[in-house]
Amino acid sequence: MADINSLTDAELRTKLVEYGFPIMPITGTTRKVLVKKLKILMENKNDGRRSLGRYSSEEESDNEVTTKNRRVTMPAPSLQTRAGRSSMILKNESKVKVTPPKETVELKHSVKTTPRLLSASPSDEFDTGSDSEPETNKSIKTLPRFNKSFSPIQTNSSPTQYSTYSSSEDPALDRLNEIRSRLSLGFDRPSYVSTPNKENIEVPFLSNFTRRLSQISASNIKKPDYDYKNDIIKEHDTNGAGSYARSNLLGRPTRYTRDVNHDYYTNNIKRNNLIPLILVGVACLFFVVVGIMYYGMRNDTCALDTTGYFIPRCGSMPEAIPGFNCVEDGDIENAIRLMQFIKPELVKRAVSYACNDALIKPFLTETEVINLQNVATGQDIRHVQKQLQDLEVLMYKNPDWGIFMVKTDDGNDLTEEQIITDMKSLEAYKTKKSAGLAVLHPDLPLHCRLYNKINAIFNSLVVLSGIFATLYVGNVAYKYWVNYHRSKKDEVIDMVRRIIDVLESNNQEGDDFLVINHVRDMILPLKNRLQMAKIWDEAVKFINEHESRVRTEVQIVQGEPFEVWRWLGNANLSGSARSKTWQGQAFETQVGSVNSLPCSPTPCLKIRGMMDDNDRNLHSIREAVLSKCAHQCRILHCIVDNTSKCIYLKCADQNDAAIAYRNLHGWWYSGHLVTVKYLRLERYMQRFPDSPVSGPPFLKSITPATDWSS
Amino acid sequence: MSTSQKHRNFVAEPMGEKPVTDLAGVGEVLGKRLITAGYDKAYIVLGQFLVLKRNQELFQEWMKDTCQANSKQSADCYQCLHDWCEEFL
Repeated sequence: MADINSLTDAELRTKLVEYGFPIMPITGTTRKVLVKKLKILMENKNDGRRSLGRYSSEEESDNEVTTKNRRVTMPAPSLQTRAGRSSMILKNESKVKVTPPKETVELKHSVKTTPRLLSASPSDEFDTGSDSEPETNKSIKTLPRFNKSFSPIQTNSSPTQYSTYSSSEDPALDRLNEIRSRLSLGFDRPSYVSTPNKENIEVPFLSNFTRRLSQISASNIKKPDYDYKNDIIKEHDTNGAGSYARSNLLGRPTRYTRDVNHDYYTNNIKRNNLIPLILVGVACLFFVVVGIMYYGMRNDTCALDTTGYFIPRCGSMPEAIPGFNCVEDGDIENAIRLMQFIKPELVKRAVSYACNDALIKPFLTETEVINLQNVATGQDIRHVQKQLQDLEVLMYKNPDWGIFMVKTDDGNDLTEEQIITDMKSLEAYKTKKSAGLAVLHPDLPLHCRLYNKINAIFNSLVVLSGIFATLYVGNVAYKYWVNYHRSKKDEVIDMVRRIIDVLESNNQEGDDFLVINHVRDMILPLKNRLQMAKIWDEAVKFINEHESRVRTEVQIVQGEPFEVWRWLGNANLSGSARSKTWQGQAFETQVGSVNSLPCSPTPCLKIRGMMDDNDRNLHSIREAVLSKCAHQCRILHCIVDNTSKCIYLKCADQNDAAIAYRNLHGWWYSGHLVTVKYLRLERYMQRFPDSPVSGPPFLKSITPATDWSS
Repeated sequence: MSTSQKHRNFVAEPMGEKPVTDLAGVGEVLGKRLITAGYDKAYIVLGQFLVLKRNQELFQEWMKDTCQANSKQSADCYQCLHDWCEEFL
């Protein structure tokens, strides 16, 4: 203990850090105090934690010092102080408060958890409160506040928590109940029960770390700066992380559990994100598979199946007409061969029609078919015709071939409507030579299909954008129209205002009426006159219809009758324009009257009541003040403050201020009563640091001073 | 807790060159002791207050050490400087 006094400053600092004390400059004046502090800390460490706690509880409870509590891990003593204090507040709870200290003696470990449970939420509230404090380094100071704010919550919550045994009088029964309640609490909230262990881990770690630090610095005392820096950083860390962690031990475990929760939370996020990702992946896979299957199915249906045709044989039918509803057995093969020959040709044509060239016909007429077949096989034309006839019959019986008879006289664009649906109507078209064979829905190559789709989308986009463009243009036009009307209206209103101004001022000059055209010539410059003629007409109309103060009449001016406007004025409004002048004194302020002080305390004045809410002409007000009193006293500084609606006046000395005071206080200015107050010189300087301290120059009014005192 | 007139006076304005006896809790006797110890102006005490990081315990301890102030006096002085700092620092 004695060697503490002989420690160097650096060693002393490290030692203090080791005991969890915030770092502090060690100077000649602070050294003594810090050494004392270290002694106390060491003593308490040796005595064990409880004595330390007791020490802190012996202090004035409101001014409990945080640094001491930092090492205290057991909350029982501080609970005791709280209990003692709160027992003063609520007498009927005294039973509750007495029990916790008892527990500390008998059941050390588990008792810790119960007050912590109580403190969890209040300390959280406190935490946010202290974070919002502008000064971060206030942990010391905030503690008393915390205790104050905390104790009512504590006392409020304690009766509910201990209610199971507080009703009972028997101490043994109390303990039993208390253990039971603790057990149930422990089961309810396992995270809190686990906190003391974690805390125990944390504290040795801290002290080990600091001890190692102290060893390093002791062995390496030549360059201690680095270590101290570390210490400082560490201190700041703890400061920042939990200003309340040190400020109250009760807050500490909660903080710890919250950290743990945070880790758990981040892990959870990772795990939770995985499942939705998998789900999305599976869904994508599903749609891809469906798409592939669909594509495959399309291909399958379009593939030509060479077996299993439905063939109406003439032998098996009762009303058989060969070439119309049945086919002779011997011609079937030929017809199918013809089909297999012309089908690729038809598909080719359909594809090239759809993709490349709209000029190519997507169908083959009968004559074309016959010619083709004739050229390709060299068969007789009549023979080929017979084959074609049979093929047509077969086509109607086998629609899954995809070959249809179509009308060709409506142009190249084939649709479902142009399919000839039965043999009878086909006969009619045949005679007109307008029947043809076509594949309506060929299996287009991919690029072609894409091209067609994009084309379709583009077309619809063009249509849509056209619609939107017209809507937009319509909107803009509407807005422009509205704006135009509004501006026109504004212009008319403005014109009316100007006319009324002219009439009003003319009336003040003495004339009763003005010729309308003269008013126009007064308002509108020569070059604008034609341009504004329309607005002028509107304004004239407006005045005639909606302005009651102006009457339109015909007067003989210089021998000629003119339409004139006569300003009738408004009796109600005639007094509205108050003159901005001093209007007289409301009460006596001369020396000796009750309204003025016998001697002036300061040279500064604050003048109220001279400004209206919407007063813009600050200069005229200042001028009014100066003209009122500047000729009688020496004024150093005068300023009109628009925000406070006050005028601040600084005179050369107190006597001048008294003169100004008597000249201004209790006067009427433009219908308002002016009041003046003395202002402290310091306040004045604070507000206007630039104001001159002494004169000359003194301020004078521009207008010649009038003697108002008469 | 209501504050004394001395406290209010001190906290109302910048301390300037005020003597140490203007501090709340520092009377004639304590003032004399502080002046003997070299703390003749209020701002020097403020310096010590700041060097001790506005720690109430340490400041009161120091007061006790330097001029044998009792806990009431040192607490008043601490509160006074603390409030002044709140206002002007």
